[in-house]
Amino acid sequence: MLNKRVRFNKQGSTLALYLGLLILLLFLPRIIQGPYYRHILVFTLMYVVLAQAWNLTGGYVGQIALGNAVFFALGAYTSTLLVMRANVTPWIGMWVGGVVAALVALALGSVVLKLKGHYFAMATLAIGEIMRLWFSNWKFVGGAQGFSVPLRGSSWYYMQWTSKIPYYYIILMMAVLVTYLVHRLDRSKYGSYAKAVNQDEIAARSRGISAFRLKQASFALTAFITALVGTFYAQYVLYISPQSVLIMSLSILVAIIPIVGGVGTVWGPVLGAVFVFPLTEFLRAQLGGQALGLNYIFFGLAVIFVVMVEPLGLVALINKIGQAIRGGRGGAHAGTEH
Amino acid sequence: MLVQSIVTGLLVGSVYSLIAVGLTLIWGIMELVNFAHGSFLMLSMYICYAFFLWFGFDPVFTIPIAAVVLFVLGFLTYKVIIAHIMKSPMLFQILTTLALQFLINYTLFFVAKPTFRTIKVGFWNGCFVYAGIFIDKAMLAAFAACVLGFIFLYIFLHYTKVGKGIRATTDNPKAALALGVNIEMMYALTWGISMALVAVAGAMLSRMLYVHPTVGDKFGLLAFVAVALGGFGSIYGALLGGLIIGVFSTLAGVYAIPWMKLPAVFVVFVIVLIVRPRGLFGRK
Repeated sequence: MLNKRVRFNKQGSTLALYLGLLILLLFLPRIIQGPYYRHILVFTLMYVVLAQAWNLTGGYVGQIALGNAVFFALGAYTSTLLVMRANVTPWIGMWVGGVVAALVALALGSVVLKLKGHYFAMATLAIGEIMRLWFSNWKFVGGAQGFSVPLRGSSWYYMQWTSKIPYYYIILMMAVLVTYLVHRLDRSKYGSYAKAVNQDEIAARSRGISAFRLKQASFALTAFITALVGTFYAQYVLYISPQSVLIMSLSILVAIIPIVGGVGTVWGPVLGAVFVFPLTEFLRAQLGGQALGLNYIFFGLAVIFVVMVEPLGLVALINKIGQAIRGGRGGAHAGTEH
Repeated sequence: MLVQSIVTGLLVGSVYSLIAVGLTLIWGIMELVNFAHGSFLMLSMYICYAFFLWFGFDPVFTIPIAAVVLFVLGFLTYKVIIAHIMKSPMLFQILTTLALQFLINYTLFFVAKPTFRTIKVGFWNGCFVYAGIFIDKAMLAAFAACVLGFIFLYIFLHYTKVGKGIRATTDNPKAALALGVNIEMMYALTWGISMALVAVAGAMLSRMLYVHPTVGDKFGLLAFVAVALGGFGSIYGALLGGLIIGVFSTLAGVYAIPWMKLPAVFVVFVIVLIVRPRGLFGRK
């Protein structure tokens, strides 16, 4: 009985599921108390957005960018410099940073996006290092020491609060909006073009899709979203330096999360971040301060496991489980196929 | 000053070359970029550090140990992980080796803590002067070790059965298979040899640099540059590429601004990738 109804109202039930999830997320900081746990929530959501942004270029179009820290840093540095030197509110600085990052992505992309596969990955990795070394030695942006964002207590104008709750709602909003955007893009012409280019670029081009334009557009969008999160990070942590926002491991991490969740899918980046972050933080808390870097070790293992066992990531795994639960026989068949 | 820079550059470059040769061997035989290359280098440095700490060994004497350990590690990495992703899309191949980098780096963070460690041994300290040129003794030793590494590699690839098998597999895996070469074994051995070469380079670097879990990343990238300059898959290209980087970065450090050393190399790298992806000496 229940099974039939679920199948009948599939769209309705999915919508209900999403709404339920949203309501849960809205009340989560009331349920989860304590600054440490709220901090994990904020960071998890931050990586959801960063991974979504990476997925647009890496997962959909198939250009594996390993230098997204550049855009993250552009966002963080632009808004911080604006607020420090010109007293411009980060609410504006955020968008300026986004535009700067998107323009840089377009400029870089016009050259680098001609590269494919390994070559693109290595070039973006190198660009990230160039920028880190450059910013570490550039006095105007604070050099290797970076900046402390001046403290103003709790202030909307300066986008900083002593409580973690406002930060949570800002990043939650960003995560929901970006995920919705990716969802829409996934269903749109853009999404199918991107998948076509990813699968067979020559065939896609022969059908009249401008692969290069598409790559540029998604790279710019990736940069824009990543930079917005960069500003958020600067305002949340209130300290930025090349060692915190321009490190290679940040660029790699945002590429690894979607892989764990399911690359080139709407929910992959979400699942990847939500599954791995709280779990690893929990492990770390259990092991105490000694467990430095343990969460990254876990990430590394998760990726290798996913690639070897279920290349489509957690999304596919959950789909399989869902099928098995929903339809007895159908699910069983789907299970035996693999 | 110019001659001095070139000499120093060549000495440093020989180390880059040895690292790059390992990378290009793997690329040549299986079209796979090992993004964890620098991490294996770092592992070798830690092995040297451990032997220095426990037994007071000079890294030079740890070379054989590090080489054997890393050979085994490389062999196992292929058998346990890489063999299973050979047919996967490129995205997964890239991210697997990246994940491996994460895994190795942060395991060392976890085990050894992010402390900067130094190996201080009296052997080969300081430098000597020859015809007005200062030559750092440790660097000269590194150069000698790298040259020996190349000679071993050359003899191995050209005069042993396994070496010939590896070259055959690189040239044409299907034909090699038809002729009875166990190509799976060749792949695994290539990984082992590649890592053994990295071990030699790491051992020689370990007494010149701070030993730290992320120390290898820079060298991994520099190896990419050397390989790209020389043409992907070409051993002599990588050798030459490493020397060029050594000289170029030293010159850039001396005649431009010191911190521009590495960025200048990376800028050249990106330009070469775009303008001449087959490398300066690549044939294809």
